[in-house]
Amino acid sequence: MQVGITKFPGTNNELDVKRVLKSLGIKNELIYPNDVKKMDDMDALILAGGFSYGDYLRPGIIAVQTPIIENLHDYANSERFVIGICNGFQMLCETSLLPGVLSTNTSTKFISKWVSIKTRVTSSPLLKGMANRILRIPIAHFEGRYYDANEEITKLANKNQIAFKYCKDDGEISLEDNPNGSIENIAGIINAKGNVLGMMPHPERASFQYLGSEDGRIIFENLIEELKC
Amino acid sequence: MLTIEELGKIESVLEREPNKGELAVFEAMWSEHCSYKSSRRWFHLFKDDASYVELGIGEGAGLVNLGDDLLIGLGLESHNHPSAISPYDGAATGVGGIIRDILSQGCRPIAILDSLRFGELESQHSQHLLENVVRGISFYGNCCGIPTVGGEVEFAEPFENNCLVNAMCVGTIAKDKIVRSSASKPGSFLVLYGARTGRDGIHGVSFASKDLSEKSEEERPAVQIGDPLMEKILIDATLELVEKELLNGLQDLGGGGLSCAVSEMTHKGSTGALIRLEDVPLREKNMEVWEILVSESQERMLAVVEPQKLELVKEVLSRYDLTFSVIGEVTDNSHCIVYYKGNKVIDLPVDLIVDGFPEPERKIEKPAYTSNLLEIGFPLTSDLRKDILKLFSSPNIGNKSWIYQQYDQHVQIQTVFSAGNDAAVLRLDNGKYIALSLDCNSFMVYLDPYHGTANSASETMRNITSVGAKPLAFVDCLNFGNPEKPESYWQFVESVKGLGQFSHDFNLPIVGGNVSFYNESQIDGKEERINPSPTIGMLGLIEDPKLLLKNHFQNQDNHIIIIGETDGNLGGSEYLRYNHGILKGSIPLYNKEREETSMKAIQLLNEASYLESCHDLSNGGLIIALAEMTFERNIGVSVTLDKLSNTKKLMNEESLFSESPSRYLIEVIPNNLEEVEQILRKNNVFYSVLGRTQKEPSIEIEKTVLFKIDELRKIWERAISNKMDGKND
Repeated sequence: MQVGITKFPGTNNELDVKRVLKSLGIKNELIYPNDVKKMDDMDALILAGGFSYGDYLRPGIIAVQTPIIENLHDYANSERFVIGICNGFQMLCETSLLPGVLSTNTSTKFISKWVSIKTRVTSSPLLKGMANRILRIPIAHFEGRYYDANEEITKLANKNQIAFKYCKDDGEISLEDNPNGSIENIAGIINAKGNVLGMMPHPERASFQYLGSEDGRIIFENLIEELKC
Repeated sequence: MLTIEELGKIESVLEREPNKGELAVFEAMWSEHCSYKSSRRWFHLFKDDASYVELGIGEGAGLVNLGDDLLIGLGLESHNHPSAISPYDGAATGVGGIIRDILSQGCRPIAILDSLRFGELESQHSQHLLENVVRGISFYGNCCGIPTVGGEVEFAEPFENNCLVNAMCVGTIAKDKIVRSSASKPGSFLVLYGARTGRDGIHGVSFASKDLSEKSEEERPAVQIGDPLMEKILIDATLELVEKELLNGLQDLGGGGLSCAVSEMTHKGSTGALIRLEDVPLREKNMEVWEILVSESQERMLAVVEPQKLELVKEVLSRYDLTFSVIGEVTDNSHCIVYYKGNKVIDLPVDLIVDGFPEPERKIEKPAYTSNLLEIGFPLTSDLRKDILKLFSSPNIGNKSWIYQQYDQHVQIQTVFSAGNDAAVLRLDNGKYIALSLDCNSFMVYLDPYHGTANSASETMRNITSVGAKPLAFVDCLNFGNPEKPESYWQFVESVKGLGQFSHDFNLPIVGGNVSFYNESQIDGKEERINPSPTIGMLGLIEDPKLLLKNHFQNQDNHIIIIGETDGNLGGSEYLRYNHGILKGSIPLYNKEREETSMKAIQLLNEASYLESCHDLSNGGLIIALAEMTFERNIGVSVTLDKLSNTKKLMNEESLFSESPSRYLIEVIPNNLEEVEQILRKNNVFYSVLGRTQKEPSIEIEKTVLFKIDELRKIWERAISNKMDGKND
């Protein structure tokens, strides 16, 4: 079993994800923009965060022109798991594997802080056993304001594709705890098949006790559990 | 500009007139910024060695051995002048520069801290600078994937036209992988890699070596432009070159550009260099020889590569799509010789470039303001409660999250304590914990540079101590006015003496640093000088994770003890300055014994697991420290103030607001109180049990003054943000 972690010029979370996978005893490889063949050997793919190509023009837009992301639709169609974190989520939306867009935070500032997010009820194996669970987890982004047309959001909600919402520490979902202006406090979504997850918060930054939270670890554990099946 | 004396020296050594390119090299290398010509005569006052210092002052990073041959690299530098003119690019490239400095020793950058100083936040100009400096740091550091984990900010009128932007970078490297910034082997190739060379940052060091004026705006081309994506790729590629041990020497191109990197590396290696300037990759046409030599274009490194490793180096750099070029060789003739399209354009002895400047005479004169006496008529206020509320709204006291939330604090997943604690704490790969603090109190230094500097450095040490760490080493960034003015130079010399004393007193080596003079301006004929600001960046080691100390009250019904005597002197306090507009008189004096006794007491109690939490007293005094400890968990506190001093009956203002050094607050559970007091008495530590924590979320002083925690926190939280976010309303 092997998990690939994408590394574009400017990606800077790949070693963090690697450390978490290593602690779970999972073999992993960095996948560079031209490594299409290597990518196809991977049982799952994690699009790590950072500033691919400096986020120049707009986040993710240059990365999605590369061979590995051009190959990503085929990869995802083969039912394999893809998790996009932060910049990776931006790429998934940019390449339309997930609906919607991530635009500039309402504060027009980069925001780095700990937040709480509430896991919604979904059928995705990646979120197995997590329904209504509240996670303490860091965010760090300039463009994390999720947006789509109202009817699309309703569709997402009806199909249980909303994965996470920003909330209070006790799970109450209020505008006050929406850090970036995302519509409906959305922090992460999944595709209809449930094998592609995109999220702005960083589960790898909440995966060790010394960091103050291990709440994000379960997402990686679920992934590994599924790969073992 | 070179002085007549300097020109004379050059001509007498060369026995000819220097040409235009050579003059540009001297102007850069003999600038105050590169040469330290006014400052280095005092560096002998610093303690600069210790058994665990692997590399001290003089290269990009100081290297400190934590044991296990894992080294911490530390660097601290100013980017004041560029930030004053172009805050966004100036601050961004300041961060970029200090990252490359520690990269020069092969370090993987793991943390950034920033020390910022601006005019009063009411000023629109200061708001503009703060907004853009923070944005620049955020843009650059975040993109490079290095967490910004701490720092400080101060707002005061003397910085209105001379803001200070000091950036510190911390890295790690294995001892057997260290790279030196020297070119020691003749026959090695000089490989320039990274960004292409353009006209940005021409004369940057000269610009940084004079006062700012109304005309400074015209010097905008002297400010460099940063490209953090290029920096990130440069970091990744360099770390691979270091890991594969392909480099014989490495230095970044910073102040003075190529001329500085080549001459400093050959000087350290006792070699020379032959450069073919046409091989420097350019991004602009028709650049002149002197422009190529002193351009400060960012994101460039100069590597020394042995011939047999050249192909391997080229392979790595090509894989990262980095531009590179072999621009010359290391020679054994002690000269820096530059050819351009077949013509010899520079031929200078390396020693002359790096070390040949005549040290200018500098005069010292104690400024008149230091003799002003502080006479206070008590009570200072008829409404103490109102006075306290006002102090919480000072941007120097208030919460700084408006700033640090714009910085990625968690990337690299090592951040245990981020900004907002007494010191940042990182957990390293090998399981060790380090503490980092960057701090300065410019008001104290202004009033008394000697005692103020020693106290300010002590405060940084208290920050380190308050998280359970033992201080190991530090770097400094000495920000001062014009050294050619005797009063300004006096401030510098006194401050360096104080810092030297502190470093010897506590056996703390200074492993690197930077001097920034000329932080003065002439505006409408009026002379404006910054408060002298010797910024200290300190490293501490937490030997056992169990020793990690929290800085906030943990539980109700615990005892609160103050360690260290309050001498009651209000001189230099934020309270007098912010609430009453007074900044004069004498300040609490530096006292090594007291500082050491208090620090040792904290360490002793912590090792015996008696401390629930700990917080040092600094800006704003006791009332601020107490309140800060209540904010996180909403745990209240009730205190009395009658035993803060053995020697003096203190007025309430003195008890609450004095910024006497050597003091900490600790939280102790009832069961341990007796033993803690025993230990304190046995060690002759001055202490006083102030009161108890409580469930009721309020702060009570002498049962008479009462605040809801929420009430104070709201003011404190909005001290900066209400001015910054409100400005667009």
